[in-house]
Amino acid sequence: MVINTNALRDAVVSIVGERGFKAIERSVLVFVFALAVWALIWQLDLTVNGLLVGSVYALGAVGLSLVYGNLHLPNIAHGDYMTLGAFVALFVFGSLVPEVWSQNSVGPFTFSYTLFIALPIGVAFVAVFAVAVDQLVYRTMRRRGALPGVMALASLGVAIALRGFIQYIWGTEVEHFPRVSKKFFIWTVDLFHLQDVQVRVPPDMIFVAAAAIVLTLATYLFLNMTKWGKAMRAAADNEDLARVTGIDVERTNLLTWVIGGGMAAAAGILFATGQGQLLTISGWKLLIPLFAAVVAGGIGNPYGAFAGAIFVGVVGEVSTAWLEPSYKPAVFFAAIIVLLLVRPNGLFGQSRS
Amino acid sequence: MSEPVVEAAVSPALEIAGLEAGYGPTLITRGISIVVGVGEMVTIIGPNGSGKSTTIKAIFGLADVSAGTIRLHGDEITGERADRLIEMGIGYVPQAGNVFPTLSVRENVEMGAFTMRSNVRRGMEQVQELFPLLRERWDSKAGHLSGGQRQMLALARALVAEPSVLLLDEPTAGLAPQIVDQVLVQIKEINESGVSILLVEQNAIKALRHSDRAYVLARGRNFAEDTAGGLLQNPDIGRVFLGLSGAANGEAESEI
Amino acid sequence: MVEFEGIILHIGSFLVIAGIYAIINVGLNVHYGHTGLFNIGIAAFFALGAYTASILVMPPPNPDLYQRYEWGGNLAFTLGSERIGFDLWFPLVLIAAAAVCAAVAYLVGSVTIRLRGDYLAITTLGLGETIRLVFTNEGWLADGTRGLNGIPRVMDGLVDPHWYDFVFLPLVLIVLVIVYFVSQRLAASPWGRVILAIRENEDTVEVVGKNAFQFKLQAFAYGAALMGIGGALYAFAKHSITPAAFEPFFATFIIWAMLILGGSGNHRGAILGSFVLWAVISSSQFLPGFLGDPNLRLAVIGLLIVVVLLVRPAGLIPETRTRT
Repeated sequence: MVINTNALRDAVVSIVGERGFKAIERSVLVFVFALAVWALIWQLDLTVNGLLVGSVYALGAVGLSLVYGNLHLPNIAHGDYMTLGAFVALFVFGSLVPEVWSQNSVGPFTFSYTLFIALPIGVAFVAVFAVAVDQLVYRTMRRRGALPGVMALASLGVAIALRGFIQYIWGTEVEHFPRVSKKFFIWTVDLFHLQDVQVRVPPDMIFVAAAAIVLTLATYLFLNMTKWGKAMRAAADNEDLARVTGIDVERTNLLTWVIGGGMAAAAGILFATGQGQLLTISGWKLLIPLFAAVVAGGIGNPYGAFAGAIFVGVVGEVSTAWLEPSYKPAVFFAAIIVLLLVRPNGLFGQSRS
Repeated sequence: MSEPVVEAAVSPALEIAGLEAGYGPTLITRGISIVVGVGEMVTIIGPNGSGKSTTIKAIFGLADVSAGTIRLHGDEITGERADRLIEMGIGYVPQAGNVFPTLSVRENVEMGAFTMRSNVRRGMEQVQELFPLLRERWDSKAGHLSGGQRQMLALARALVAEPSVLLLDEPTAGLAPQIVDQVLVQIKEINESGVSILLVEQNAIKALRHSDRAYVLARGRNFAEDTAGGLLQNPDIGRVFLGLSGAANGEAESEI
Repeated sequence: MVEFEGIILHIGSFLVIAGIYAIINVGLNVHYGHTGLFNIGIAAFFALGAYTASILVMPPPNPDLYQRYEWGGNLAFTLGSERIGFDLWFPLVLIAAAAVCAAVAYLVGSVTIRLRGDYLAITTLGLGETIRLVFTNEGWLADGTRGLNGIPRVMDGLVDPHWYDFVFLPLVLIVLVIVYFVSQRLAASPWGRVILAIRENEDTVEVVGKNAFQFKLQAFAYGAALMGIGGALYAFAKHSITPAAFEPFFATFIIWAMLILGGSGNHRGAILGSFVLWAVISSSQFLPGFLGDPNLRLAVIGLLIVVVLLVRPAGLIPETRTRT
């Protein structure tokens, strides 16, 4: 089946020939790359911030990509799972632990040790919640052989319902995580003796970035080094074959939700910690950069999603040098479109099918 | 021609009796009976839609069984879950897409041992000895293997669980002729190591040469059953099912 | 009698908005129900249609009153009833809104439709946000967050503004009927049969030599055009628009819930779902206590989508599938 996939390409080829096109393509790529490096260096402060913001995206994107790849579900409720995790943490801060506990912060960070109580509770809660939704909704649909689009639609319903309940319980006002003000880390970098650039980094972001790296690494090790992790990858490859090989596919599906939901909660809590505040639409707003990261990393490739998230984070932050910051979602959207045009299987990955 | 002609020579490893199976409301097999003796290599041949693959799929729950029984060494296994079947010593290699493409060769084999609780290492070593070609590519992705290598890997994955009975659904489909022989020889070797084999094949003549006995299915029913040599000699079978032109020409070399 | 009048007025505005949702829903049904395109950026075309129509008919802004907002097409004056006796601009801007949406859909679709289906969901989600951002940030275009007010009305001055919904309602219903019949005819045409075949099995369509991609792209553009018409009517019905009106909840999610409830795959289901769900939503605000809570309403709409998908996947009016 030959579909005329790229009329523009054909038109250029007909003028300059195949070799000419290759040369043009290569020089355009080199130019774009050089431009990107130039921009990254001159906007060093934004680049550093982009790396940190990207690591927050990474926490969300790894789980999203895992669920997407293993269960063939672009989970539109993923952002709201993040929000749920953050609100559970808020509940822990507000009701479960004495307020004085929140007044002594950890090292250079704004949060107190209570975060290490809230984080596992939030992660466990959302993991259980994600499994419960799977059992109630998605499992029935999988058995019925529902198309990915219908499953995605159900996840849209879950997203709307979840946000409605969160807003019904907590209201729609801005909520604040307990925090102690701390100084930014500030470095001044001399760029080629031409310009001094001040890099300002909120201390919490360094913690978030470290957590993202640790959790992604843990996911990688689990998927590649353990029996159940390999079984999850096998089931993602070919569910029927996994079943006749004796793999308990229902259980690998549950594990996928435990990891995906848990990672979402961790992402939501750490994001709110970094921001110091929480809105009921915080998670939903992250959905576009998260999907951009997943597409950039190649769908179903969790480590690709990490790299994709860093890429998306940097592009988003650096773009604010020239564009209104409120245009960031549009930048992510443009990044998705460009990526789909140039590298439909992701920046790094090869095709799964 | 529908009555069994010869009894299985030895005690049965796998018995399928009166199997009626299909997909949803569509019935494909309408009372098929097949026996595989211990240590035997038995081939099922027949035209498309005769129920060859469905018979094997029904054993592993990939087709819906509406009537009939399936026994393994005398124990009824009809409707058992796949992991139980593998634990009981029955292995299955489906026809298409029978490796996990993004997993390495090693990981594919490991998945075959998923239900095993002990001593995976020994099985892994045996498989490497049996398939030296796979050992060479032990850490490369299964998706990068050639068609023949994939079939070997699929066999290896099924063997690592140390089955006593192996079900193979068209293991030579889509392979080049010289590779077909290679794969069939490998299957025969597995059989000679003591594994009873039930094989569904399109390359009927080649498969029959390696088999002990064979069943011919037509329209979801048993049509004929004989030793492999007997079927190759049978003029009617040769003409209708094996595509041999000269009647009673068991030596014909023509391929289907 | 005041209470009675209030009820009548409420019914009028209910029917106008439900009719507009029904038009958009026919567009969504062309996308999802007929072609299998998973568009979760309805808001993009909804907003684009509304803004295109409004900007074209608005008079140029008074520079003394606005710092950034610059341009209005002034069609309401140049092609309005005061000059030529009837509001010629009305059908023209509906067509313009449809054309702009179709063009944007064509551009976005030509990148994403070729790829796996779920990419379209992601890109349309992004498109919805992006379009809203453009109208939020570009103050010169449509006065940013404050939006456009006093959008001219078709056949204005015919009745007291209080009762205007009852002038506009017949127009909405006429457009709905036209949209329904045209879409119905299209679905039954050879083009429509190819579209349905693509939804069932894309490969068979390719085998018989049809370029599935082009057909899907055309269906995407056509559905988006209907959404644009709905958006234009919405702007005239509301008399004013702001970017906030095109947040995903009212501009995308509700419409999905309507389609799922009514039954995707047939336009009658899409239209019925629009009226039924909008009746539930617009009357629930009169419910006492927690039942009237807008957040709970949001939750109920989400649950409705899930429950209908689980319990009655075919919706209120299931699609009648014809064998070919």
